[in-house]
Amino acid sequence: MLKGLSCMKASDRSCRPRAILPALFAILAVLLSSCTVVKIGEQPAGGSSAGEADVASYARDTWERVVSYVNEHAHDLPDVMETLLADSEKAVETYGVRNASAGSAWNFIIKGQGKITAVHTESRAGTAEIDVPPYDGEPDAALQIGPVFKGTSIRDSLDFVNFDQFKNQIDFAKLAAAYNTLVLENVIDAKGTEWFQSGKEIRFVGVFTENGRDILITPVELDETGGGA
Amino acid sequence: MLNQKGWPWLRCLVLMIGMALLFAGCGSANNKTDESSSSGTSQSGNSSRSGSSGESGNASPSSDSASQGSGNSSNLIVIITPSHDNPFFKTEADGAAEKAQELGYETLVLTHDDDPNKQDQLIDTAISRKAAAIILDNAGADATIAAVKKAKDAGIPSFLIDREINETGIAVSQIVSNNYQGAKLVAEEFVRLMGESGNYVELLGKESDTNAHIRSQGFHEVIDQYPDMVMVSQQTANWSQTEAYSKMESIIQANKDIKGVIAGNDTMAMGAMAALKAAGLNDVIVVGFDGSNDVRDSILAGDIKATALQPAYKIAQMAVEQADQYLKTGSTGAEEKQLVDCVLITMDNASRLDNFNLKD
Repeated sequence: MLKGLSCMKASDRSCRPRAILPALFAILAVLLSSCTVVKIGEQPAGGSSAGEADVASYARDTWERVVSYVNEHAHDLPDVMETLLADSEKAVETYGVRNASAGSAWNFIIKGQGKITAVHTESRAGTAEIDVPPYDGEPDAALQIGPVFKGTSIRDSLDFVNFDQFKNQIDFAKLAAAYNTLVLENVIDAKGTEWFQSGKEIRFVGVFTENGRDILITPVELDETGGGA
Repeated sequence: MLNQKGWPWLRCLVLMIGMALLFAGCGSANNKTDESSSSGTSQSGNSSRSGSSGESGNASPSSDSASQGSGNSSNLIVIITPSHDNPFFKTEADGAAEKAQELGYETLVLTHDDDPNKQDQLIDTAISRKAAAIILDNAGADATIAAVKKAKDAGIPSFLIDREINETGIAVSQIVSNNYQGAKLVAEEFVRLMGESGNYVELLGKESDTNAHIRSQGFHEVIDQYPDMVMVSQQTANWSQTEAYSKMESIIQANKDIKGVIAGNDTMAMGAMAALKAAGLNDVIVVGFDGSNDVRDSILAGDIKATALQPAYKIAQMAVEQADQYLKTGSTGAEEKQLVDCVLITMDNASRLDNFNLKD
């Protein structure tokens, strides 16, 4: 029954343990594989960042899903803006999303087209201001173009992620940072800084968090439009 | 298969079984704190919470929360926080006590002074008093796990506020301020005021407090993205105003060109501000965290520039509401871990702030 046992002599004591070893290792492997990781990015206590690598890979692994999700749930920016201006409670009811608990800010997943009116890189938290049709030359919103990104809009708008899945705030925060890094890599750097020019007409999909002051969009997708309607 | 002849074979098998038993424990919580203290808790005298390991729990025997069930747990909510010397914790305790009394409970307010041993004794007190629930702002994210577990085993659900513990499934609720989000807000304002460059000092909170680490990490996630921001000194002042004052004094002597100070909490920001003024340094940008009345006044006077408001009062009241809901229905209706955002306080909104509550 024990295949692989090359020693046939029962009296050969030195032989048996060696032959058993592969089987033992196999059993050990099975047992170890039953150890489950309970939380995403589990890490030692005290707030160290040993779980960072786990969280970063989780972000990477879920990025495609994030982009699909945002595209799927995006409302037209002009509609959202109009409702927000008229009745912010209604805007929240109709368009607002959040995975955080009561009292936290609402997020809006949007898509739209617009013309870049200005590009700001004096601050490392760079932005491209956009005028949304009907064009009046005045910027209506701004896109974050990095390298530093403010806020946690993307993470906070997802319905498949929440604080409860993470061991502590640090891990949960690192997820937001990881998503922002992926925006920088996959969305901004993919275009290159030269791509952001005043006058360019673009299409965008992203998320902004209500802050009572301005609309600051973190994009998950950017394209140049041909200059059509 | 076991036969007497294969002695090394037998040893291997024993070793194998030993390792199997060892690794079988792998999936469970790596909670190494000793539970011997809980063995002394008599369960026989506490007949109300049998079987309520938190999930299905039977509601309080009487539907009227104000009456006392005979022989069952009392109508008492025990509120445990760090020392009330810091007005933040006093506000928590007041907020919780007020809501509890409003809902018809008796209250017992205690402080653990950030000592896990004292906290443990206070949990024992709650157990011996057969408390209905514990509202706790804890003394250590790891050290508290055993204490909350002990209370749970004695049939008392715990509702944690402000500080998390590094384990779920033990407390019923963990309603915590989003310290990381608040820290990032303060740091972003700090960086803006510093013009994204310059020498700065960081004052850290108490090492054992998980929030000290969380805030520092939040600060650095923002600040470290600006290579022209240079940290010339980073020291702990243990949340203390006087310690921050004396640390700041030494730091000023060693560093001539300080443009900003970022402190892990408001009391340390106050101490730092005082030391800077005493040294005649009136243009240093100082920011804190908590949203205290002291810092509010300092902001309005043009000294300290910003802080992050932790909604202490709101969180404490939420915890009591959830405790009440849990006792009556067996569930809070919310996830265990709940993050409540902090709000940036600057000159723009400081006048609406009072006792950790921002009015509209």
